[in-house]
Amino acid sequence: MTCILVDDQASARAIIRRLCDSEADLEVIGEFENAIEALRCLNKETVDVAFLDIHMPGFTGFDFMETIRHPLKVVLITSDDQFALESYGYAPVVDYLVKPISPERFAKAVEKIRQQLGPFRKSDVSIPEPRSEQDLFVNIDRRLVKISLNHILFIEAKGDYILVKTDQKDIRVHTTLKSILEKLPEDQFLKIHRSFIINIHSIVDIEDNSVLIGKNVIPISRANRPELLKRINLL
Amino acid sequence: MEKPNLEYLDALAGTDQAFRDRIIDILKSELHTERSAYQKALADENWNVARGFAHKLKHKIGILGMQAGHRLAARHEEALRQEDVSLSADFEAILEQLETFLQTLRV
Repeated sequence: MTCILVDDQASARAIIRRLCDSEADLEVIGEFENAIEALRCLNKETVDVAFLDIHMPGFTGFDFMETIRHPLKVVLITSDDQFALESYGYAPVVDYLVKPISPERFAKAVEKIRQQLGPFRKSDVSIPEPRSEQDLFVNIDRRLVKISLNHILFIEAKGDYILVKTDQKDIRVHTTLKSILEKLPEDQFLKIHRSFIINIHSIVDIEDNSVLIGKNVIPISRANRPELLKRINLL
Repeated sequence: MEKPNLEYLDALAGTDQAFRDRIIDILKSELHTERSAYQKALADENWNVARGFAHKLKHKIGILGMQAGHRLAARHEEALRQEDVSLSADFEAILEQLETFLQTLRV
């Protein structure tokens, strides 16, 4: 798990960092003496949890939580217990620690974070941003049928129609490869042959003149092979 | 009479002398700076600022194991909200005690 520490007092940050260092799966990727700097960090880094002081001059911990848009877990840290009830009105708050924090109490807070994050830690997996373009609606017999782009394996030109091969079914659409290619995200789909567009994420392996997608062998034209090799994460 | 101690920091540091030295160094510096700022705000009758520094100082009183002092600091902080300075002298005595204690520590 990755975390940031936000506290305007150096002594508090040093102590919290010390407590973090005692948790093997907790990595501190930044310390900030004000919440504005911490917000900037969230725009650049993948952070699972913030250990956040409430009392900071200007922009408080509560202000910070009202501003964040990231799915961040927050452990509030303060010298007062009077804000405990208020703090739980904020969705990101997992726990509330009163200074000076005992190592045992800190460990309990970290365990709560582990339970809430489960296996889906932002720092461990890349979760794609929800995008409306991830679906494509095609006209089939006067019905607009939704196709999830992530389910498309490849698309084949078949004379006056195209065949959209998904991992669940084949869909026949009266259009051209050129037309559908314009509607597909460039980073995911590539035309590798005059009759084939493939979903790059579905490739199983690549040989000299073909790619394997599912159980289908798709030809690659010599002219398109260099572009395909550029687009894959090649070791 | 309650005295400051390093029980909390020693438990945190374990055998890590470098951490112990570093945190004491930070506390010395922060305490001095925050105490001066608190005194100035109090003299200027800038209650909100004084309350903010009293809050920061309360944290250090807690770290250095003064539980009764921590409770007094909390009451003082709250009193400052009402522009009530009746606990100022007691609070100042705690700060003096802390600063003297930290000065005796070699880093």
